[in-house]
Amino acid sequence: MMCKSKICYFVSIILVAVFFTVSAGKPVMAQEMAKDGSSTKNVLIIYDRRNYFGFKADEVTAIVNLLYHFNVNTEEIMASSYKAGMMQKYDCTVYIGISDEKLKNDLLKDITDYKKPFLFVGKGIQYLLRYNPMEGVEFKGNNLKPVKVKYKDREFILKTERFFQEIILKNDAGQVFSTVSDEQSLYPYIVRLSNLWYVSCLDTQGVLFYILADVLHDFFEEYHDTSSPKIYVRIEDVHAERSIENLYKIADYLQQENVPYMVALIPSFYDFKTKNIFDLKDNKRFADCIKYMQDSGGSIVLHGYTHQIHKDMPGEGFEFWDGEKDQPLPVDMKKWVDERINAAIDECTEVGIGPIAFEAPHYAASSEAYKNLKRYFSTIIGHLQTSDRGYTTTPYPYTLHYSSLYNNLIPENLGYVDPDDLLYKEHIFEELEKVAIVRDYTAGFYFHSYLDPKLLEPIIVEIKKRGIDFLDLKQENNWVKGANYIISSQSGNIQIEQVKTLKEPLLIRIFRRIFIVLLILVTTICLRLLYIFLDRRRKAKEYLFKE
Amino acid sequence: MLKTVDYIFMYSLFSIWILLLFNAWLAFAGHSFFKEIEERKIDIIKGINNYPMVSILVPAHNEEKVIERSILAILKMDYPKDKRQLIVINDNSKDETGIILEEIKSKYPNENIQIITTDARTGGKGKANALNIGLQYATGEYVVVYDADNTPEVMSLRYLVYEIVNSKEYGAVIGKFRTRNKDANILTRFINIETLSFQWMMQGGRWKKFGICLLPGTNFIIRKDLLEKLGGWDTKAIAEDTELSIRVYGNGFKIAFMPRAVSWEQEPETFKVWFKQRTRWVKGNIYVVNKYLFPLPKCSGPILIDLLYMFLESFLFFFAVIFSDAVFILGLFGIAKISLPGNFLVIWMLAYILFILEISINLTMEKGEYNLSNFFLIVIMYLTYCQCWIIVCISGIYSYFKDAIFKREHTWYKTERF
Repeated sequence: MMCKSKICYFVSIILVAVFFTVSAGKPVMAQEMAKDGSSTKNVLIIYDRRNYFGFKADEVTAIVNLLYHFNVNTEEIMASSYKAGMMQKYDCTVYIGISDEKLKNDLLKDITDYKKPFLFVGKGIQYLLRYNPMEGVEFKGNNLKPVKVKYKDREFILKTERFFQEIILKNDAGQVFSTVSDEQSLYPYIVRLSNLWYVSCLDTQGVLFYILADVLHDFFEEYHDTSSPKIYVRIEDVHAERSIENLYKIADYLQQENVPYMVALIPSFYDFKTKNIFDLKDNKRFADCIKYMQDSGGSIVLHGYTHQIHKDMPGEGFEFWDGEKDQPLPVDMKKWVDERINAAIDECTEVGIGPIAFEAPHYAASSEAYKNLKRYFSTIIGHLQTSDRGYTTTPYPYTLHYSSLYNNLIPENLGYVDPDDLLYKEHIFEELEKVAIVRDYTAGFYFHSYLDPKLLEPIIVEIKKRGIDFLDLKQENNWVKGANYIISSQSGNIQIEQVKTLKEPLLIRIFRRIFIVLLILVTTICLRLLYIFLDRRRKAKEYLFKE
Repeated sequence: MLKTVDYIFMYSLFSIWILLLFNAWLAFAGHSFFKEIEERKIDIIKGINNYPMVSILVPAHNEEKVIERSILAILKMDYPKDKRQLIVINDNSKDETGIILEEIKSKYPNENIQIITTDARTGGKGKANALNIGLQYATGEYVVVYDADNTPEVMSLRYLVYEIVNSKEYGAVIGKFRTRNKDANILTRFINIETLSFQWMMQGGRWKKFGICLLPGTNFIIRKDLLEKLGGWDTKAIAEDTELSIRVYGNGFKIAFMPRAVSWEQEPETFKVWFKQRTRWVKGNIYVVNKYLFPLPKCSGPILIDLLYMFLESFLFFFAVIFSDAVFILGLFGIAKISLPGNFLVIWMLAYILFILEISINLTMEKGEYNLSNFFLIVIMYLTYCQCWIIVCISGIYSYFKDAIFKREHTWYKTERF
């Protein structure tokens, strides 16, 4: 019996070890743990290349993240590495064609045989149609340059530089979701041909991207609550060098309008000349102002630790991306993120400020930085930097959840209030028009902390007029898990919990103790000396009278 | 993350506080010693059975302004005339010092006065050299030294003799000096407060706790046989008194403090003279530290500790004060920022209060010195007079090392009289 249990124990250890060894060699499914296993769709992404020739943007990453609005796990593979039968085990498959290269027969055969939803985006459709001709579907060329796109009875002028694949549909061969026109003819932009969904142009910026986002609900047959899309305003680059009076003015205005808002807080400032860090503890007025904002409708979003790397002013530099060399920071990113984020969280919490989300300075972070930030924040705000080849970011039209880069992403997609642009309000609402084609959109824009809140007024009035709800971040469940503090928000309440005593360096701990002992000792000595002094004075007087 | 400025500050803070606490301890000890002296019954008339022969050495180099008053005060001292020998070394004086001395000698024919005059060839090489010349003529069992600006009190010599003849372990006994011209200006008032505090804390306190005193250069008595055994004064030493003290201890003797033996001396009345004098002291201390501590300590016991203290004071403490001031000033302009925890304003205030209390207590031990004006002087002294010591130390260290690098002879600056 004893022997048997020992064998079982040994075998189970071997099995666990084998499991980990095998999984280490395979691409890991993003955030498997976070997904609801029963309804999660496993999606295979096949791509011919990741970027357009001459461009740094990683189109594949941009598309993949668009899928994370849905309950999916994704796995990516290059078309040249694809092996026959691979896609069969996935619930859905996506092909992304950028280079127009010929698809392998193995792949074409599998697409033809595939019965589950298949999304074909961009170039290469002619090879499929040649391999598997479909009735009523004809490929005409790959240099279509339409000027308008139409979706759900709404039309938008196209500004994209990309060419479209010209597809002709005859006799209602497919279900067209969106069309483009060159003012003479209509062409399908997104069409469903049985289980094949075809998108005739790959563009990950703007309205085409948003139309695809909306269609994905039908593709995945996953429908969310569309009754109350949200919009938010974020006060940008709030740091100690800003006018505190203006921050109060902004806070008072938004509170008076009963508009919840986000505050992108940069808690510290690194003075490169003196190599000193000036933080919230050093500036009580500023800390009080942030607390005031927090208490009057503001949700604090950590906007980096110093928003600097090189000799920049806070709010101007990058922090999780090397903006000068346009490459990922050449640092131990885990250590970098740990040090800076913990310092920022400690700084805030020690003065009673509870940040509940994160926004990367200039939205810029390498994938390695995102993965490390994910350990700290439930929620990321802003664009997503979708490439490590160069600084390119992607605005999304809706919230994204549980990819390998983040837990939740609340997108920012309307731009900002530009005081030099007379039509800033119109431009923001133009963007909103595009975003709003997505059924469960979330929209956001930012407002620089040094601007007069009067500039904000017309936008707030218009949003209210349109009856769009404002997103109140602290009403949602968010968390920030620092090494020393855990911050959470729920139903408008922010909880700050100290998980362990701040681990100060040994030298500081010793210093602190010696300092306290010194204070007590010196006070005692001073009191004793005072007693001697008074005694001497008394005796001197007595002596004087005796004389 | 601690930065360089934090480490510098930590070093400054601890160095300064080690010294401040040590001084506070010495202040308690000085007070305790004062109470002992106050309660001690000394019969200087009956307490000396056989008056020993005493040779009083007075080195005088261009001292025409002060020499007459000093010599007359020495002659007025209550001590058997046949038991004292006054040797004035008129050391290469270019002024009227020699004439004044001859006049006094002729006026007091019954006094045992010997005037030894040197010229540029035989003398003029500093106080130590002058004292060594005087020592050759000394016939007494004991040698007493007074600077040419000193006016000892009438019973002063008796106290010194009483103390040394009644204890075989004492190689020398020092008295207390007071500032004769303390009311001349604010500088002499500061010096008055400084000298009184120094004597009660550094001499009285150290004597009480470690049995250590340093010869002050004036108003002390020393056994002549010991002095001869030691080979007299070190002519290369600028602070010849401190240097001699170490050798006295090295021979197993102690130097005792007898504050009832009072001598009044003239202190510098201008900043320039004060600065030169104090720079010489700093250089002298560096010489002593270098001679006896490096490369290996050449002494042991309490005197080694005392030398280490001198070293710490002259270098570690000094640099600590400079760094601390620098950090404070840079902090004011927002250039440097300390990341260390603690309320440094409170600790600075405590240091200030400690300083005021220590000095005030010393003043209450001196009749007529504890008054409102002196109290205010103490309050401003910390920020003014004490800070001037930084410049003195820089100058002393710079000058010493400059002399060492260029192998120049240390020059002995005689303090200008007023």
